Amino acid sequence: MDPSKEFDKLLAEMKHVERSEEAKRNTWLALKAKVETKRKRPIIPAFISLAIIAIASFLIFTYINSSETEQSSQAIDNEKIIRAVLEREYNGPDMELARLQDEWWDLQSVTETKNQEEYDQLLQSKKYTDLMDYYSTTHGEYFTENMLKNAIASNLIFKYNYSLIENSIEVHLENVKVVQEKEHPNIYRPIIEVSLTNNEGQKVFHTLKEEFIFSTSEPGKIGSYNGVRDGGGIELQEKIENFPAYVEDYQNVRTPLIDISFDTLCFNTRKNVQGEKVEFESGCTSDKSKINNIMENFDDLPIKAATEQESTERSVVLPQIDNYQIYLTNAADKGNTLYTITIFDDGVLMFATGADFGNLGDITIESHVEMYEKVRRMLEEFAENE
Amino acid sequence: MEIEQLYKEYSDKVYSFIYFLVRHKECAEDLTQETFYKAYKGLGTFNQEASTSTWLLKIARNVTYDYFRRKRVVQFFSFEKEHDIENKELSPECSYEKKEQLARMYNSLYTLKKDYQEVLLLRKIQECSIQETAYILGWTEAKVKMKMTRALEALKKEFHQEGGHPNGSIKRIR
Repeated sequence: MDPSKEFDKLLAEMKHVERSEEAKRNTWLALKAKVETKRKRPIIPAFISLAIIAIASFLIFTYINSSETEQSSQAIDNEKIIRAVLEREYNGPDMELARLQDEWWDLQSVTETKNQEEYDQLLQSKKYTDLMDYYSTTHGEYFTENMLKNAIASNLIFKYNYSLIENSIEVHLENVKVVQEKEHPNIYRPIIEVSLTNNEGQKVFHTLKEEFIFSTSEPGKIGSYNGVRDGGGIELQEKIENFPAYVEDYQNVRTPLIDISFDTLCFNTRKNVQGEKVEFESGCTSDKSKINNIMENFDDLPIKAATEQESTERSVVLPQIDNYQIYLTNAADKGNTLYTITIFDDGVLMFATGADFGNLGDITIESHVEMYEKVRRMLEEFAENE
Repeated sequence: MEIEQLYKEYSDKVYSFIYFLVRHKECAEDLTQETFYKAYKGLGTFNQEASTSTWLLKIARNVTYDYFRRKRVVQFFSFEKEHDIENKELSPECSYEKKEQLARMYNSLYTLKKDYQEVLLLRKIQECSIQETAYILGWTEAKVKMKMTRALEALKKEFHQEGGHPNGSIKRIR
């Protein structure tokens, strides 16, 4: 039976979770009390409210009537603020935040609070105020007070911190292009390039967009900070959580896949002898043991597709430095080269299908000088001097 | 929308979602309260990117994860050791056979990987769409589909294991 249908009835039965009306009402009463406490806290006399409205109106009026120069200057300042926030958000993880959060969570775990009053008292503890102070220190100067509160409550800042720590990944801000909306100059949608690195130094890049709306009542402060729908935030989270899969796919680091059938290995080489003359050598072997001994050196080498620049560089050095070109072929048809591996004396190897000199195709991501020496000795065993 | 209306309309859904994760009624009530309090604080920033119900489930998930972290709970979606599905969850009208099947279903779900449990809970029990599930879990829609297929296969395997899960506390009713 189709597994998607087989359990539908049973799973549907599980929808009905018993919940007493009394428990539901008690939860509502507790929530209501909490909400009302929050509402009561900022008791602002009417005249102060009026003053705030007046000041805000003045600022909006001033802003609307400001000269283009002032707007341009403000835009530069806003860009700096955006960059500063992104530096915080995308260089991490922030271990200090994690420490403060852990301490606060630990305190909550060991402190029993029977009612809202006791919990409110706990919110006065040093652990909690230290955590809140840290948010203020890191972001207070960039956000309006209200936005900062919302950002903390809805996990908008340091949003990847927990996942980064859980998955032992570091994030680094690589590039930012701040784009200001033409129609709405207070809105900025930066394009952000970040890199993720694991503890083996493997790196994956990711580009995403976010949105910053600057407050009109408090110029120079972010009044709204949002991810952009389909902006790439979810995909970044996915890359952090499933980093190994993305390293494979995106960093494109792999090992050589020599998917051909051959029975003979031949080589050509050019060698500088004492810096004066150049010697050429070549040789072939169909000895399986010798071939396997040589080929197993290449099995686990991390390689990636060579860039145009890398290919050009290798073409330039090919006639200048010692190198061995290894051809894989069949004894019956030696003229038909199936695969070429070029190993340079600076330890770089190139892999290519067909009779290419190895300058197109894949390249090792690091140097293997010792391997050059080892393979050279193995090839010399069946060399025929020319 | 006012918080009271929000609570009236969605608290049962949020509660049942959390209850499936924590398996403790009082705790689920506390976390439901915390979810709505966070929603109340975040109402101003809710940008209608998702439906209200999906948005609340996402907050509920985050609140529950925070709870697990605070309590250092390693086992996600863990059942109480002596879980009492047979006595509390199933109505007296429930036939023995159904009781057994439901108990086994709970037990099978319990043995699955965390992400399989989550995707099954959202798609099959909470009846969220693929898009909503992707939003709540922070996954791509393709990942939801892929995990759902694998989760159902794993569930099928667990469920049909003879006698249920070997370490389960549910006994076969004869």
